[in-house]
Amino acid sequence: MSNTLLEVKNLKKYYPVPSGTLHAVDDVSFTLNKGETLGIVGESGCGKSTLGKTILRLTNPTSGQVIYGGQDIASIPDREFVKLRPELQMIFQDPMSSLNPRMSVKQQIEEPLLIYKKYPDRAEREKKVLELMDTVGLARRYAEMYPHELDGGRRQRIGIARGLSLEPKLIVCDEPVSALDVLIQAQILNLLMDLQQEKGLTYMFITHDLSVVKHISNNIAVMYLGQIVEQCETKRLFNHTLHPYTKALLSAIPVPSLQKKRERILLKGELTSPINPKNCCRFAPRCIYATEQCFGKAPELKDVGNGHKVACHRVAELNDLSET
Amino acid sequence: MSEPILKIENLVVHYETRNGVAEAVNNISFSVQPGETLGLVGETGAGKTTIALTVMGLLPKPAGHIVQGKIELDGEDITRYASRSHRNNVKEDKLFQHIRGEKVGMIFQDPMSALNPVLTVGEQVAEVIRLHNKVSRAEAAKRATEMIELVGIPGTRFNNYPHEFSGGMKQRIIIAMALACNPKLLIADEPTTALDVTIQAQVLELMRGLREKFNTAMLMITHDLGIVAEICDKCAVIYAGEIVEYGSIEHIFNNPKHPYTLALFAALPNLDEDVDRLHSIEGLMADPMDLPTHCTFYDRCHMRCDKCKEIDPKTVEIEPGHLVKCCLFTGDLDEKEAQT
Ligand SMILES: Nc1ncnc2c1ncn2[C@@H]1O[C@H](COP(=O)(O)OP(=O)(O)OP(=O)(O)O)[C@@H](O)[C@H]1O
Ligand SMILES: Nc1ncnc2c1ncn2[C@@H]1O[C@H](COP(=O)(O)OP(=O)(O)OP(=O)(O)O)[C@@H](O)[C@H]1O
Ligand code: SF4
Ligand code: SF4
Ligand SMILES: [Mg+2]
Ligand SMILES: [Mg+2]
Repeated sequence: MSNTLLEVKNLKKYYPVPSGTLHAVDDVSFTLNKGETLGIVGESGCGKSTLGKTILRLTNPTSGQVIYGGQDIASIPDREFVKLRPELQMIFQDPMSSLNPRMSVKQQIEEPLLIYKKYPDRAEREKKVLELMDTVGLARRYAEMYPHELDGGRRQRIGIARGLSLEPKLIVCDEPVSALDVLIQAQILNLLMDLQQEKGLTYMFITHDLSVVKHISNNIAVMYLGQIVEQCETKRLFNHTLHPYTKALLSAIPVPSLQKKRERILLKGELTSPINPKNCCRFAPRCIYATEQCFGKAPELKDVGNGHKVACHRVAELNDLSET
Repeated sequence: MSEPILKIENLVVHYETRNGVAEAVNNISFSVQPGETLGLVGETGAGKTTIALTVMGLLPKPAGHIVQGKIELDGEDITRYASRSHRNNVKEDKLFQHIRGEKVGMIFQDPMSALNPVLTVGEQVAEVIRLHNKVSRAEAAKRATEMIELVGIPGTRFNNYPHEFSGGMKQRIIIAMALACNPKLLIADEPTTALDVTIQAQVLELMRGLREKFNTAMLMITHDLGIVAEICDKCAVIYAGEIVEYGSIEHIFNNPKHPYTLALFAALPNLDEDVDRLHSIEGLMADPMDLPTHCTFYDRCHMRCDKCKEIDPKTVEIEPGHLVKCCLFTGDLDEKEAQT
């Protein structure tokens, strides 16, 4: 497809740890179209951030390819990659640890512009910084303040302003709104969607908030312990949920209402460790449908029709796949 | 009624910075009964964390000050200790740490700053257990492993360091540490923000269990109204350092009154319904360095009228136990005006 911006092929990221090899991202493949948003959801620790960081080469992959602009950016030399860096940005999960505590708000936002020598003229650069602050809704009087003097929401806005500063094409948003209250969250989500419209931005949107991901994404990939277990168009995921983990996930969403209570699937059972995982369905110990086969062999991610991909041995048995 | 475990009266907390004074907490009063969970919701910068830090005696030095008010913990006035500038000798400091450590557990908003990067996560949980119970090292390690598994992390990861954990896993370790000492009061500052919903459901379940078993009181700071509906008994909606609405969760969810509370509900992305744009209100939280003398929500309120610009509305009880701080309910406006 000519519209493809990014193609990830069999990406793996393993970490050596004292007790073995930790499979943080284990054979993940997907494509992302220009101007679209792919939502990545999944349990804490399932490898969402690692996936984002590996794609943007903030950490080196163990194996696999990341095709961007016709080349595999996972393997090109550093000096080639540096040229692409401004196009590929990340907005981080934890604003405090990604900001420099000794830099003022203005300096933080200015830093990427300085590093990439954008706006060499000082007055113009300062103008750009102030514009960016306006864009993300940071009042100008905060320019000289330091991160620790700000609340979480304003800190996250600094991160977003930094992410936007180099006019990127692809932004990996790693839980950009999870620290924010609903009003600011709504503002930031609207802002990100406006920017997408205006500038044709492409997002990979990592979150564990399903109502947020539903609102912002065209497609959603559900991850479990380093692997994609279900992936399809957003509406379909909610209306034709197929994977048992996704079903549990959807049922667990807390509803802000006292009347509407969902029938909840509470997950029991032990968590599989991502260290030296066996060849099995990694969800099996917590899955109420698990059979012997599930413990003996890992299911493959397969298209069951209409681009709906699922990794579950029993998908056809447990669901009516003809219904669309 | 039993004695409240935590009672805060007319608390005012300021931060003094180079750029001026930030009025973070402005005349807040509430109390929490044993076994009761009070939710504190409100926008970023509303002062929620500041309230928690004040109770814990952890206001940042030298900026944070208790300007006025009283804090009682389990019947004991701890205002003097909570204010760091007054806690000038080591003995008082020790005494306070003791009172606090026995009675209050806190789950911090920022997990990284609460973990020691050079100790394994297991050691850190075990250390907390040993601090509060006279047990052997081996026993503490065993209990720590149980706690770690209770929050959904395989016990085999006992010997990992914090940097080897994802954000949500670190948060679960913090939760394990806070729960390990069976506190009378648990202050949880956005405890599940970094967790996905299945783990969140487990953690909330865990907290519910704790409440039933030990009658633990909880102060639940969150901006997720779903969590409030799920676990809280009472709820205080905070705006610019003030409680603008307070009541049982039935009051807040079934009969919300304050324009800000209404805006919060309207801004939620809804799973059952598709919208192109989320409903937000323009503008930012009132600037704590420059608070107006009239209603602090005025600039963003779509129900405001000229009267609102003249007065700082009183808090009124519109039904038993349901408090609202807004001119629309004080009787300062005549009926006709209030309808528009
Ligand atoms: N530097 C590292 N060394 C060893 N293990 C690591 C390292 N970084 C991450 N991991 C492990 O990789 C796995 C995936 O972590 P990651 O941060 O990608 O999760 P996540 O899905 O982003 O979780 P969260 O929602 O909590 O942010 C976890 O098991 C984590 O412990
Ligand atoms: N150390 C500090 N120095 C100066 N001002 C501070 C300091 N810490 C907090 N503030 C200010 O006090 C106000 C209240 O902050 P607080 O962290 O209590 O908000 P919060 O309700 O917890 O917000 P969030 O939901 O973002 O965590 C904010 O305006 C903040 O900028
Ligand atoms: S493969 Fe088996 S264990 Fe895995 S999700 Fe499907 S039914 Fe459950
Ligand atoms: S007092 Fe007036 S401005 Fe303030 S919340 Fe009520 S209606 Fe709005
Ligand atoms: Mg992460
Ligand atoms: Mg806070």
